[in-house]
Amino acid sequence: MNRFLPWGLLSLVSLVFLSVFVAYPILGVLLRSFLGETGGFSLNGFLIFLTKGQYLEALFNSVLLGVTVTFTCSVVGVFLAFIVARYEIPFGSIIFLLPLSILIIPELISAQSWIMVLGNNGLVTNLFKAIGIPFPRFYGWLGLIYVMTLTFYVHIFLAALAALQGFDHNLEEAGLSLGTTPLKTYFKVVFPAIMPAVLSAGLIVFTLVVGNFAISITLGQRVPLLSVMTYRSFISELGGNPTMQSTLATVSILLVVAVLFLQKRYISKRNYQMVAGRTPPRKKLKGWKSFLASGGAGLIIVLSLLPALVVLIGSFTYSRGPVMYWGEFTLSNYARIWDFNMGVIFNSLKFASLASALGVIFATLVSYLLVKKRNVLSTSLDYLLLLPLTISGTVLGIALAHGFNSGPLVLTGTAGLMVLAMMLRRLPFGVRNAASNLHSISDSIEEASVSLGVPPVRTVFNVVLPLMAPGIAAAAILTWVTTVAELSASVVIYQAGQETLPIQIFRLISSDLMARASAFGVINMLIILVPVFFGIKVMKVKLFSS
Amino acid sequence: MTELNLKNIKKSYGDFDVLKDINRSIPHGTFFTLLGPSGCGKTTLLRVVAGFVSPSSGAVHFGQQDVTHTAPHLREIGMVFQDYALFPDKSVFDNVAYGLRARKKSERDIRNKVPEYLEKVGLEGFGHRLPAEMSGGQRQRVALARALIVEPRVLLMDEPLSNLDASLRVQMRDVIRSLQLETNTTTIFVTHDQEEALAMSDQIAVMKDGRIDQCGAPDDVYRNPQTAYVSSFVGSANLLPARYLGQEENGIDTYEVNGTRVSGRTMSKADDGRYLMVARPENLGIRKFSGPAGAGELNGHIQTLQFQGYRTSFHVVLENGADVYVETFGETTGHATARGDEVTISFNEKCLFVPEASR
Repeated sequence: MNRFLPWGLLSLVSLVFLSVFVAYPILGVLLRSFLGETGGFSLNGFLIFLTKGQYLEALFNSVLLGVTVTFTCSVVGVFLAFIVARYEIPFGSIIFLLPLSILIIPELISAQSWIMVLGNNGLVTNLFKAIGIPFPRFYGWLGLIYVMTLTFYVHIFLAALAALQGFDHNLEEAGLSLGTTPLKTYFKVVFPAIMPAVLSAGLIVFTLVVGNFAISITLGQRVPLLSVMTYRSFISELGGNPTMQSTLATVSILLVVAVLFLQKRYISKRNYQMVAGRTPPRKKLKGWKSFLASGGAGLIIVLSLLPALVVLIGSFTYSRGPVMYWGEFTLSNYARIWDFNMGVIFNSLKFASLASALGVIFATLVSYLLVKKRNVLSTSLDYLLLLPLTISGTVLGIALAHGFNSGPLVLTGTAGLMVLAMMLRRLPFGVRNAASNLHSISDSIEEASVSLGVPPVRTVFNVVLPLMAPGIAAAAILTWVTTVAELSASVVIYQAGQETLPIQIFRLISSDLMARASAFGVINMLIILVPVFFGIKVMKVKLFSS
Repeated sequence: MTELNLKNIKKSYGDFDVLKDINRSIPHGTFFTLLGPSGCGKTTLLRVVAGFVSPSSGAVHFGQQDVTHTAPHLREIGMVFQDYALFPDKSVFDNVAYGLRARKKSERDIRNKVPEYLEKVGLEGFGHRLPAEMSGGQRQRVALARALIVEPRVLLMDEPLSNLDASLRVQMRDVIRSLQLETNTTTIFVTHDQEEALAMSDQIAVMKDGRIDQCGAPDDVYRNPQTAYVSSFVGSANLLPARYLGQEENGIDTYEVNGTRVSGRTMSKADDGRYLMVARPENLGIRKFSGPAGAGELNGHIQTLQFQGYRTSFHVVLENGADVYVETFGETTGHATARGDEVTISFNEKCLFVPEASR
């Protein structure tokens, strides 16, 4: 059938690719969790999970941490969004740096920098010690909640800001005109309307926290967490009995699936259709209110951006072992990289550029097939693309490592698997970006080209791709940014000689060598920053349009 | 010369028949309009001709050539879309040149021909602009030039005027029609706007539920609607239930409408004997109440009236509660002119009778 080709064939190829590299390894994890010592069916893994206290405790801790951080992020994010949307604050123009901050400062570097400030040997800790005030222990719940809040609140801030800016001010005035006080109007009219957006973003934060690896493992030594335990079981059991790690992975998959189900079932239905209204003018605040609003917002912004500064200074600071000599500057941290570790930088560049290129090409192709050329395979493709969302990087790493260490396709230990892992993690987002881009391109544009005598495939290159170009560029930059910072999947599957910047930083943090980690951190941030800057300033790419 | 032939075209999606056996032969150079409400299948039929939809059965012929299985890009058509479908990243010149380049015409030909067609649509000197820098009407002119420059065998237009505002729409009708006549291009024009259809077409096909209900020249379709549906979709019509009484000596059919005798033409026979009288508002007489109604007359009162300059529209409620709309032209003196006035409506022999089932 000539109408089915070539789109049908491309759909089939995409489907096979996703089945082999996403569905098959994840299915493997799920199946192995039901495997006994002897190889037969067994519920032993789940039995151990439920009876040995440490596993249940980890699950409980993960959920508790998720709920707590989601709550704190909501408070911080909504507060900041409200102030930015409604009031004039003196430094309002640098707010645009916030969404950038989550891109540019990888969570690992954020965790590291706060250890350098508030950890055992931290700047502030030592200051307090010097004047004799006991400082609370940072590692554990306090550090986890603090750093995760500062890392993840931006998601809720952006969602709440968009909702508030799209909120029709007339509704608020309608509330006021009906006799409710301004404060009551906020709670009765404004908050219910932005709640669905906040809840959706909150669930994303929850899944990010539960699946989080970098912050969890660096700050949570004393708090057993599911993600860390999964990683440890893999590291210690590699080559041994895979049942327990698969069971842990399965539990975390189920947890995320439950959350996604909740999202689909309850929250997405409560999305209100808002008539695009006029946004209210920003008010000027006076007196203590102004102090509170701008002070609060300013503090959040400073704390969000501080890690970059700390790491930058740290990278030039002289150190001996774990001891930082603040104020004594040196280039030796960079010199060591130059002398011994250039390979790490090249690895990062190599893997990230391959993963970005592959990811963007694949996302563009698949989104085109899904939006413009739907066929019998499309629904299966849709579902397969959701799969990577249900698994954390750690689980993906374990799934890939086990899925391809034997059998017809052996990839474990190859650079290809590293590239694959990095690419797959970002894929659902890439496809979603490209698809939203495609939805805005009317079908009639392609039909116009075809009606003028240009065959369908050439029409895509002539007409569709030029229009998608800005979106593709944005997707490429975002993919690059996340792959360069990727740790949780690659740390599971990397082999000697395949260390990337985040892996190297992670190892140095584990050995308490903060100054050297900082130098790698600065390089990591630069590698992220350059294309982001280039994209925004030179190519005028809108990174946050969707 | 491209005569367009549609033979037994059917299209179904699952159990739903979008097109039910369309047969039509459209002579070369005809401006052929598919008129109907949304969901009647008119756009699907247009897309079958374009090749974007393949019919479940039946054939499309361009002249002697059967194009049913020809891919759209090989059909040598020109198409104009409701949303203009201009390539937003290409200049007006490059948009218009697009089809010529696809046909591997030399750049010299292109440089000669594009300005010629831009001039035809009244856009000389606009070549360097981007679509975003132009108004809706200008964009649709570009789209028209782009479609016509390739000298298509058939020009297909899918509601090209619906995105424009009212005054521009009237102006664009003229642009489209005169270019179509100048190039003598066989054209299929899809619209839901009866006024547009009447004003522009050589032939109108009124579509309903996947069928062509009636096809003919505009004045024929307006004056001689064969069904109640066509009478109310093309122009406005008062539809009143009628009972067939018999033929007068002169052969004119006579009906009973609301208790009065009205005679007129029967457009088609009703199997069940139930008819509707079709009365155009401008074919009704209205005068102040002056005693009991005679034959072909009914009494009522004016519910509302709208004075619109050269004409006046009346909404009259008859004694039995039925609504009738009447329009008078020119002087209204002598007519009832106030709300609530008692009036007598007279039906003349221009009234038509159609089967009730044809609604």
